[in-house]
Order: sequence, then structure tokens, then C-alpha cells
Amino acid sequence: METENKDEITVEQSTTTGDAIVVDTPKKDPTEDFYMRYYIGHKGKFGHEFLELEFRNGGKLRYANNSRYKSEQIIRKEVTVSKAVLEVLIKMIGESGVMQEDDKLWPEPDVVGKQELEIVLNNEHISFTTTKIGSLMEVEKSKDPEGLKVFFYLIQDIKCLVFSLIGLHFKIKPIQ
Amino acid sequence: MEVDKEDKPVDRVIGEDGKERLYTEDIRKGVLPSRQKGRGHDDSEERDTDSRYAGSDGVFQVLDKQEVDITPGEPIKSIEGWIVIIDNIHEEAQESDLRDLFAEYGPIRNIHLNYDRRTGFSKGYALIEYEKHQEAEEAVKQSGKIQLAGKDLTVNWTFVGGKPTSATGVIHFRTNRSINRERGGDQNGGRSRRRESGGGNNNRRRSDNRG
Repeated sequence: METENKDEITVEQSTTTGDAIVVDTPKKDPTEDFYMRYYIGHKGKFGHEFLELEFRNGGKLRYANNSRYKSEQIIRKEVTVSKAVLEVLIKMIGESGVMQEDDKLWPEPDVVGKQELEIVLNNEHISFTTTKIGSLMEVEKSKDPEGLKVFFYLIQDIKCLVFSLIGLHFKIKPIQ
Repeated sequence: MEVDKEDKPVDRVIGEDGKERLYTEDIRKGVLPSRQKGRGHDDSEERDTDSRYAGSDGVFQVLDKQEVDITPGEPIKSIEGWIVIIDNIHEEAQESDLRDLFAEYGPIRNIHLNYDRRTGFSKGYALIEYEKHQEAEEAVKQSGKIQLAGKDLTVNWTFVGGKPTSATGVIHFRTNRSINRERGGDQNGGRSRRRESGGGNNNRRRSDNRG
């Protein structure tokens, strides 16, 4: 098993020193080992209300919505998306710069609610948590407005994509 | 005690309760991402992922049960038609531009051209629904051959047949990660060990990503 991996190790020329350095980052298709999960929810008088979107291995998209207040029903949908869809999503994540951020200074989850964003992409694994963010004002007032803004917009773009996918496939109107 | 810790991750590839514990092929093989960040990794934080999908809450509905019989990667029909995804769209493109181009292959039942929430420009992708398989297929065949504002549009199927799964709930990764941590960052030892001993389980979950 270990010998197989030798093929994947690439040798690159360091631009600064000119020395050859071994980089242990196999050039492989980022859609192959991709995972993403986003959760937003809170516990209140309508119980545990939440929305969770998950892209599992192999393009399996899962959509869960426990919004008892508006729909009085739990929605659980699952469909497999093509590689082209994953590429759109991965490009979105890459361009957002979220993989370079850190949640250290973000407001912690509280009684208002919780958001979780977990992504495995290109040998990096982020698992961020924060509270619910209602507006850009809250982002600006935080200790890490730039980082939180990246998160804030990325989440909207991801939700937009997933709601289009789920909406078109199942003909349901996802509740935001 | 040391032996216990080493054996646990293997058991948890597919837990005793039948739940998937890991995601991505690499992680199933025991190759963990080398970089991790974020409070969500912190074991001290209480998470309630199990309660989110307890009992019938863990049953995810697919559109068509027959879906699982379709070869993974082959296009599947959505409830009212066939959906294609168009990528590499110019940021200033309008829905009407796409309508003009793609109505050629069949009447467009639905179109979603989503915008970047930050810039207000097109996000670069669009979803189009055709009623008939043949219409959508014609559009897919034109992938790379249609231009809009100087950019070649790619056209692909949106939904495909996937691997059936019996697993419920979200996949837990942290359990495994924390054990790996306990072992004092013995990355290499952990990797090779889990690779060889996890082999039997991996085969059950191997999925084909072509599509």
C-alpha cells in the first residue's frame, strides 16, 4: 500500500531557493475526497429547529429541515449530484477563501443558535462553529469582521445552490 | 490500554450500529487530512448530531426508489423533468442570454441563474430544466461548444444515480480524530495500521466517483 503512494509524491522546484523540495500533495481530483456539511439551528419553543445540508462522498447531497413552526413537518431529502455540481461547489468554496479562515474570534454558539460548517477539501479539514448571524451589522461588530464576512457570504451562496438543486429535483420550496 | 485505542478506529469505520463513521474514501482508508482547523474539532464541545437524526428522523427520502438501480453516474430524472447544470458563465450574463442559447434544444421549463450574494453578479453557474431526456441530452452534447460573452459554456447532467446507502444520520469523524490525537500524533503508525486492518470494511463502502 505504501509503495503505491510514491507515485503520487511530486517534486517541485522551490521558487525562492531553487532547491528541489518534496511536496507531499498528490495532484488529484478534489471532488474525490470532498465533504461538506452546514448546520444552522436552535432549540426553542418549537423544539429543535434546524437546517442541515450535507455533501457526502460520491456526491450524495442530503437536505434536512426541521422547521416545525412553518411547515410542521420534518423534511429529509437525498439525491446524488454529478461531478459537475461538486466542481461548482468546490470552486465556490475555493474562491471564498474560507479554508484560510479560522473561527477563533467568531462569536460562539449561544441561546440564539448555532451554525456549523465542516469541509474536507484537498487534505484540509475545517470545522467551524459560531452563533446565528442575522445581519452584516453583526458581522461588522465582531472581532473578525473580514473572516466572518467570508463565512456569511459563502453560506448564502451554498444555500442558494442547494435550494436550487433541491427545489428543482423535488419541487419543494425550501424554507430559509 | 494501548491496544484498545488502536483497535477502536477500525471498528468505527462502520460502527456496530451500522452507521457510517467516516467520510471520503481517503478517510475510510485511514488517511486523515493533514491540516485541521476550527472549534468544531474540539471534543469538549457538546454536539447533538445523533439526536438530529434519531429514529425516523434519520430516514432520507429519495425521489424514486428505482434510483438506486441506476448505474452510478448515469443521469436521473427529477420530479418534472431533466436538469442540466451550465458552468463557466460570464459574471454579467443575464437569464435572457441563457434562454436564447438553450431554448434551441427544447422548451425551458425552469431556469435558475444564481447570483453572488456579495457582488450581485452571476455566480457562474445555472440550472436549466427540460421536460424531455432527449432535449437535455442535446444540450449536454453541446458542452464546450456554446459561447457566451467569449466564454465556452460547459453543460452537464445535474443529478445522477448514486450508491444505495442504509446509513442514517450525519457521519461522525471526530470520534476517530480524537482517538488519533490521544495516540499522540502517531500519524504514520495509525495510517498504515488502519489501512491494512480496515480493508474488509472499505470494500463495502467503496463508491465510484466517475460521473
